[in-house]
Order: sequence, then C-alpha cells, then structure tokens
Amino acid sequence: MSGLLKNEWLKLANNKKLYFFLLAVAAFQFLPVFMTLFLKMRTLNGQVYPLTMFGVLVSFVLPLLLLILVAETVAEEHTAGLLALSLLHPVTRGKVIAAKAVFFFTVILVFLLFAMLFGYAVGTLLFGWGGGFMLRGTAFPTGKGVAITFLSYVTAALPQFAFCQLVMFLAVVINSSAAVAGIAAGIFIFSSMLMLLSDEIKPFLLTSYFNTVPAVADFAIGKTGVFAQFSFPALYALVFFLLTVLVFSKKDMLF
Amino acid sequence: MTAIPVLDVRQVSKKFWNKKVLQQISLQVSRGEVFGFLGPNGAGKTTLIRIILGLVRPDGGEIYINGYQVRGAFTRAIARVGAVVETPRFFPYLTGRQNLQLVRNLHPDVPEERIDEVLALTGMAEHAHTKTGAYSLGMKQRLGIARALVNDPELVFLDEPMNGLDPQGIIEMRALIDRLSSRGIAFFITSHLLHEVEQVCETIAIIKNGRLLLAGKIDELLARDTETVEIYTEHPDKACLALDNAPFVRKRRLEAGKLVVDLERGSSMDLNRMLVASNIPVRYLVPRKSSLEEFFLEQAYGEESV
Repeated sequence: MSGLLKNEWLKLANNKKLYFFLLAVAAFQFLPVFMTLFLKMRTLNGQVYPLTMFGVLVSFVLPLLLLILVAETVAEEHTAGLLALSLLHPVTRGKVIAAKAVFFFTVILVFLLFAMLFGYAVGTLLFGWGGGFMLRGTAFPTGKGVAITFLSYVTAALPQFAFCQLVMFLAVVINSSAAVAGIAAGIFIFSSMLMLLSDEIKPFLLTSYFNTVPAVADFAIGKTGVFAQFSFPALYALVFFLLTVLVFSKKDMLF
Repeated sequence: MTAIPVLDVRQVSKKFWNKKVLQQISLQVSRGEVFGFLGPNGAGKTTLIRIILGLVRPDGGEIYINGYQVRGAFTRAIARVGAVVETPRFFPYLTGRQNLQLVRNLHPDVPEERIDEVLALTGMAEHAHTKTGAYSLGMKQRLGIARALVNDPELVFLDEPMNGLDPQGIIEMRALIDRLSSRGIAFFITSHLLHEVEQVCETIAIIKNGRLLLAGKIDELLARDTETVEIYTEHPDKACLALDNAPFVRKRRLEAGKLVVDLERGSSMDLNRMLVASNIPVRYLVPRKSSLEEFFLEQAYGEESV
C-alpha cells in the first residue's frame, strides 16, 4: 500500500490545487488581522490567534475544500480513465480505496497543522506572544493553552475524515465530479441547517462534531471524555469506508 | 509437456443491460506470440480486454494469465502484464517520467533504472521531463507503451497502438514489437490498420457482435484453393465472354475497367492461353495477393462488403 500512498502524494504535490487550497486556508487564517485593524479589536495575541477562526475553518472552509479534493481525486480520476490505471497492477481494489482513505487523512492533518502553525506565526508576529491563554472565559497556563490548541486541531481530523469517507462513497457511486461535489455540498449545508433547528437531532449529525474545541476544552477542565465525543465520527467513517470498498470492488471500470 | 499459454480465455460472456456484448469467447495466446484481435467497431474487443485485465467482471467464463486465474489470484495473474487500453491516458500535470514513476511505485521489485530503460526503448527519453498535457497523440502512444513495459511484462495488451503515429513511428513501433516478441513477450493487439496487423501478427482472431468468428495463424487463414488474377485489357467484356465456359474459372467480376478472376490454384497459364486463343489483347495479367484486409471484410461483413 505504500506505493499507492506515494503515488497519491506525488500527484497532489504536483497539482496546483494543493497550493491553492493552502493559500485559501492561509488567507482565511489571516482574516482576524483585518478584524483587529478595522474593528479596533485589541484582544488577540499569538497564543489565542490560532483558535480565533478555528470554528469557521473546520465547520465550513475545510469541508468545502475537502469535498472538491475528494470529488476530483476519485470521481474525476475515474471518468478520465486514470483510476483504472492503478488497477492494472498487483493491487486489490480494497487497497486502492484504503490508500486513498489514508491519503485523505494525511492531507487533512497537513491542512490542519498548516493552519495552526500559520495562525501561531501570524498571531505572534503581529500581536506578540501575549501573557496568557484565554478560552471561553477561562484562563489556562501557556503549556495547557498550546496543548488545547494542538489537540483541537489534531482531533478535528477525525470528523473531517468521516466527511471525506461520505464524499468518497458518493464518488464511487456517481461518475461525475460535479455531481459528487454538488450532492456532498447539499448534504453538508442541509446538515448544518438541521443543527440549528433541533438539539435532539444534533448528536446524529456529523457536522455537529466538526468543531472540536468544546470537547477538548471540557476534557482539559475534566468535565467529559474526549473519546465519547469521537466515537460517532469514527463509526461514521468506518461505515462509509466499508460501503465504498464494497461498491468499488464490484464496479465495472468502463472508462 | 505442453507449455502453459500466457493467456487462456475460456467461454467468457458479458451482458450490459440485457445486451449480450460477449458470447462464449475462448482464445489462447502463447509465450512470445503476437496476437491480433480484430473486429468492427462495437464488436466487443475493448470489453474483452477490460475483462481480461479485471476492470470489468464477466458474467461467465474463466481467464488465466500465466496459469493464474484472474478472478481468484488477480495480483499474481496481473503482476507481469502491461496494457494500453484505448487512448493512453496520463495525469496531465505530471511529466512523462513521473507518470511512469506511478507504475514503478506499484512494483517494488522493479529497479528505478527501468524507467530510463523503457523511456529510451520507446524514444521518449528527451521528452521525459515534459508534462504529458503538452504531448501529441503520437508521444502519448509511445509513453503508453513505455508505461506498459515498466514492470517487465510477459504479456502486453495494445489497443490501437499505431493510432497517432507518423509513418516513421509506425515502422519503429513494428520493429519494437518484433524485437520484444523475440525476447518472449506476447502481444495482444487490436488495430483497425489491418495492413499493420498483417505485418506484425502471426495469429489473429475476428470478433463480431460479441461472437468469435474465427481464430488461427494468418498464413493458414489466408491460404486458399483459389488464386485471383486481375486482367487489364481494352476489351474486358469480350474477355469476360471468352472465359464463360472455362472450367478453371470460379468467379469473375468487372472492377473499375479491369476484369478480376478467381481461378483454381495453378491455372493462370491456362487463363493466359485461353485469352491468346480468343485473340484478346491483354496489357497485363496481375496476380492479386490475398490480403488480411479482404479476408477480414469477407469474414466480418460477408456480402455487405462487396
């Protein structure tokens, strides 16, 4: 499977989209600077800056970028006859899907870690490191602040990955990247709206788990367990991964 | 002991939405053999290749590559197979070399230098660092073949390999296939350029409407008990009448001002004698070589082709 993974990274590293996506993440992370300048907000420092836009980044920006990436990597490669190329070699279809899943997980981690490091760099350069880390009215020592920030970013990879698995499933069922992106965007928007309508339905919506800061912060304070918070996205990812393997294994590659 | 065929297709059938696209296809390819797979558009050629390569699931039948069943032991069966299915496709934002690297990465036993070897073999070394999005169709064909050779295959599938190649490229491709087959690599080639197939293939199979019409050595298939002679004369109608009762004439027809006669093998001298005796001035008597093209049209289209 390492060969398949190498191939995914070789393709992405040479694709301009990666750099466009990283630029989009960086531009988004830069927004609080303008807010500070124009709205005269003076509460930011290098320690809190990476979490300033975190909620919007993981709830909206990243899922939208990921659905484009997954739709292109799977559906567009399929219709362009490029997905079949890997299948002409001694690899099973299950391994091809598993390699893509691992690849997407690593891509998500790269995006998230890039966003975090970029946030620290911009925040510290423009506003200084600052005296402490404040989150939802609670002050934390610097070390704990860094740990909360890091854990929030890293744990956000799991719900994003679960969302990728859903898009990947759509991509192996539907042979059109535009249709996959459209349907995935529709599901995402609908789910985000449902979250606002009812608290009862929230635990069953993947979008409810995108912003991991509350779970990590509560864990830091000792209120609840992080693992309970992540069992639903993990199950969601597993189910869609297995469905994808099942459909792909039986699919006739006609392109 | 009989050698195991490098490819053994047994009774393969496939339906798409109730349309039978392949019906009980069986064929074998031996080691080092160059096998031409011919048929009109939509006959089922590419579908069979896709089934052999495991891209499409057959409804029935079995396929063995190097003795390994494609369905049960896919990774072992496919390990020494190279293929160009339809137009070669590449990641346009990767260079030629990077596209081959993608294949090399899936065969850990293949050394890195193999990429340069196949690039040189197909004349693509100087374009190795150009993005494939900028390649011409001919360059893509060559790189497609280079890619099919990366894993040092024993069986190579080439779907219309001469498409997009200039005359020099076609000659080089022919020479390359010839050289590689002499090293023991078997080729399974589809092409609509029947003249090229005749020059590179020893064996052919013809498929139409999903049914295998025939398979065999080209020499044996083209050998007939008749020969065809073209008679160039000012008086084709008179010549036609003169040959009316000739016992050795099987068939005669007028074709663009010349008379074409099918004779019993070895009776061209009798034909000449009869024309002289009938006082018909003949400019030329030209024996017509039986070509694969004619044979194919006859087999695939029958009376429609006349």
